[in-house]
Amino acid sequence: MPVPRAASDSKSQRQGWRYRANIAIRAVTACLGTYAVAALLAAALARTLPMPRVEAVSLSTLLAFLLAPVVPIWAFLAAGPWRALAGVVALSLLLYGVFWVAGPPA
Amino acid sequence: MSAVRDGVRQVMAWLHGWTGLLLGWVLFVMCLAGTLSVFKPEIGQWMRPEATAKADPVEALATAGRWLAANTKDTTGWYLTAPDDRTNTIEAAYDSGGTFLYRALDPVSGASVARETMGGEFFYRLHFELELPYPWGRMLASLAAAVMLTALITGIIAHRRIFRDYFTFRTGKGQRSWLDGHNALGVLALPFHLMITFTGLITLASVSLPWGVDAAYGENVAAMYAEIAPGVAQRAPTGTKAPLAPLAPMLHEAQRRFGGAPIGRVYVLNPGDSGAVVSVFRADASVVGYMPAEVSFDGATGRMLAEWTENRPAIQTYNTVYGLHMGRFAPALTRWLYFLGGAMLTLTIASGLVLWIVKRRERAPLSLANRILERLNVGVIAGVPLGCVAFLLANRVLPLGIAGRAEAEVSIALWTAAAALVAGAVLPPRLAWPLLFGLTGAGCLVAALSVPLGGTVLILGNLMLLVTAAAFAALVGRQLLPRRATPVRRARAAA
Repeated sequence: MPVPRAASDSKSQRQGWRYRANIAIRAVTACLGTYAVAALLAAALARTLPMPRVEAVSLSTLLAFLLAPVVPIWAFLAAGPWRALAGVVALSLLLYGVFWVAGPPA
Repeated sequence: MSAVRDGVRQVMAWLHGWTGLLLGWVLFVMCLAGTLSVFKPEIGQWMRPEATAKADPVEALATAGRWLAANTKDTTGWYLTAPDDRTNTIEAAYDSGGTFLYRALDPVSGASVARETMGGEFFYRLHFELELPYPWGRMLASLAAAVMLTALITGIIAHRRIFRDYFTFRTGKGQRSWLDGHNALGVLALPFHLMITFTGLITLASVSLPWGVDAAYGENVAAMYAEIAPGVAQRAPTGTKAPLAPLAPMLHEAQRRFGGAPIGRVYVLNPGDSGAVVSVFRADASVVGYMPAEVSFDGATGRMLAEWTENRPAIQTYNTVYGLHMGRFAPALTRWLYFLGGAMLTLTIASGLVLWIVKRRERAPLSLANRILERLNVGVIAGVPLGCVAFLLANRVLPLGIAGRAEAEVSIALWTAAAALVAGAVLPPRLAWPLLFGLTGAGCLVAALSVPLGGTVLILGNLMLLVTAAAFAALVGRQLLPRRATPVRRARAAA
């Protein structure tokens, strides 16, 4: 493994600022990323699901919550903190693209 | 990912520990209050032993409407829950001159009952609002539920032998025993824990995740409400005074349109105004889904404005998920299973919080941060149940008829919990645990003896209090009596 992952680090490695920065980036990615991805997924699906808009909103909100535990787990399992952040940013941009292209329903 | 499987488990165990700790105390309060809320109507009956009058639900609601019309001023609305076979009062939430009140109304006189109390409504509100102002309490509760979902999933992934641990419990072994207990409690009702956490997250969606609504409706939130519940007429007050038409004919008409099914709730918006609207909702006690049907009437004339029976698939799915959390559909046996599942989840959280400390203390002396966490554990895990018992005792002790009686009960509960937090912070844990647990047990005992027996609900309630008192007595006994033949290190760890 090129970058030792958070919990597998040995005791001595846990003291340094590198370890702290690693955890901090992952934690921020987990907290803000979860909300960003859930909000964008709800918004993108609400505009694209092929059903009346009130139905699309209900279903998209339900589905968005299923993602809640996925993003934090990814944030701490990814090979490195920057890769964790990049993954979440990429997914967010993709979802924002769908939301933007779809436009508000008639 | 380049990780070997053991690495994944280690990371998950680490994440499980930290997410569990992050909002563990908030989750403990939410789970305890939610568990008690399963018996919200029954707690209400226990706290209003004098309210035994019964009346036809439609007559009762109509009488309550007359009392509210005479006793509320500058009101934006009344929200009434009809009496059924679990409650003998009308639960009313209403705005009176800018203050929002929760009261139980007598089904015969329509007036607020003499022993004014929020009853089970206190635990219900505490469960998802945490006694914080709107919308912050609900936001915090949503956040806690999301963290809880992560803690559950990471806990499952970190778990090596989920089936074997089901049957493993090694007593008197410090950290090992706490871990076994935590695992057994968590695994035993795991499907319930996952269901209740996910559905709980859903119930607060309108506060926590409004972005789907925003994307489809933008600023026009009123359109969204109109499409979600087409049977609820949307109307602003006109400012012209007009008396409210009699409620009974509207309620009878609604019930006829529900095919004879009972009425669940009645909302009266802008009563006394010519723009008043009366919305009547079918009871959801016989179906899992929430809001199965509704009818609205013009409040001033009694003419029907709108009607709707819900059968759209996505909304019905949403309402079913919501209804699963509320558990109002549940017959007696299911209700007890909800209660047991909730109790186990509460204990899983408590044992997890204790485990955090026990694990660290067995390896090295506790750091300052962990000593603070240890004392917070005492204050919350032992103090919040004490506050709940204080709420029940205040109900018996406070004189009837004093102003703001229901609110005083809540204040006593909160101040007791606050005092317990201080005691937990100031006293050494080996004294604070048995002291607070002992007081809680004694409080349960006194509460059980505080009312003459009468009626199934009161008898069962008192029995539950006696069982709880015995459980706390056993806990105190374990903490105070050192067991023989226990090595010194373990005895210290278990203290």
